[in-house]
Amino acid sequence: MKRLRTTELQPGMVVAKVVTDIAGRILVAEGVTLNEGLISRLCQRDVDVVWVKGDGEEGSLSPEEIERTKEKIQEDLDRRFRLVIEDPLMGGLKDRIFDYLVRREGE
Amino acid sequence: MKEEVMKRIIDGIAGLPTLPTVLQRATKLLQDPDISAADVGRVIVKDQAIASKVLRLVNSAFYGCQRQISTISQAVVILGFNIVKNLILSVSVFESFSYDSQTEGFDRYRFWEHSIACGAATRVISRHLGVKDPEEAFVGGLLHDIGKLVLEQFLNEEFVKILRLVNERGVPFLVAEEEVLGMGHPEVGRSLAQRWNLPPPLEETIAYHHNPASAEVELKLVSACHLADVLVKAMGIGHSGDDFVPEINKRIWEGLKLDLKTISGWLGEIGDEVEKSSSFLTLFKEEEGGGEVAQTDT
Ligand SMILES: [Fe+2]
Ligand SMILES: [Fe+2]
Repeated sequence: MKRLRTTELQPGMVVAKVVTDIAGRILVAEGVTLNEGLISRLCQRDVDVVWVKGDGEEGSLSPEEIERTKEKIQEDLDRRFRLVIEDPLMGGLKDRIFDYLVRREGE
Repeated sequence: MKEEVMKRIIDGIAGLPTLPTVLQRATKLLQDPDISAADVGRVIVKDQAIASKVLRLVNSAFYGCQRQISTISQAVVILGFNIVKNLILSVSVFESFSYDSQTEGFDRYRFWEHSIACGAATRVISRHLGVKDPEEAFVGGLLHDIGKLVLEQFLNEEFVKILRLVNERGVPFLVAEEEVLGMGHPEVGRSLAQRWNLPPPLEETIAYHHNPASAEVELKLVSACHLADVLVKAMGIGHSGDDFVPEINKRIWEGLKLDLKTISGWLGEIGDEVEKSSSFLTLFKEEEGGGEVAQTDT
């Protein structure tokens, strides 16, 4: 089983874990073979990642992927905190939120 | 200027339906100590639309019930009057604001996503702060920014101006509101809370979530909602008109003897609860997103 960004999905891959939308509705069930239509609909539904069957260590991201994810999280936080970053408490909070989001992404 | 704006808001709100009579009746019933679950069920079932939505929510992961609940009376027995009452209130508010709108630059789905997440986070923080009624806290978080929907609906031209200021000048929504209207969504939301006769702790949460130290009735609840708003925006969940993280109010921070370690300890629980609360998003436009995506072809 491996974890792929929706943009990395290819027709023929088999879904390893049920995919739901934000409201918990099932978009694609486990065991379904992906086709072009399904992949584009997942993209439209803002699904970020999908587990598919196949090689790859369980749940592991490559070091480059981890770096890219961290950079993206940092960028988003810089933008959201830009008006309050001078404040030491808010600066500290930003670091804690960063750690939390990185941990969650890795789960 | 401010008086004129307020008059338009009050006139607009006066045209909104009052919260459904079923809620008023249920609230009255719930205050009677001799009332049975079956009595409450009978009152609520009169409004089928509300009853079916309430049932869907009680069966969602948010309430973590092991077995299927199929009637309102059963829900009252298993979850208690209080949860059911607050659910009726939440569903009624969604119904009142289910008008169709197309304000450019404002996505109502993401607005509710922010509000629901804030409700879930307020509930978690309230438990940690020892707030009396965490279920009411959920509704407080859910409704905290409701003033923005009043503006969108009744002062749409000004609302668009506010959004434009936020985007072009990069100022927080509240600052832009003050500039355009001479008042902000907390004050606007408060008028609605009064019109709907919401309980004082909810009115205060709406009125003071940006300024929690002013709360008089339920300081801890208002503080919980203030912190929830900060954390939900920091985590980037939903969108309420701007994406700036507001500054934590130092008076409540010191008053409640909070520190960053404590807050970090809450984040995992908040994230989990927010995820579970997403079933509330299905209240927003039933038909949207229905079953058009393939379920399975195995
Ligand atoms: Fe607000
Ligand atoms: Fe908010």
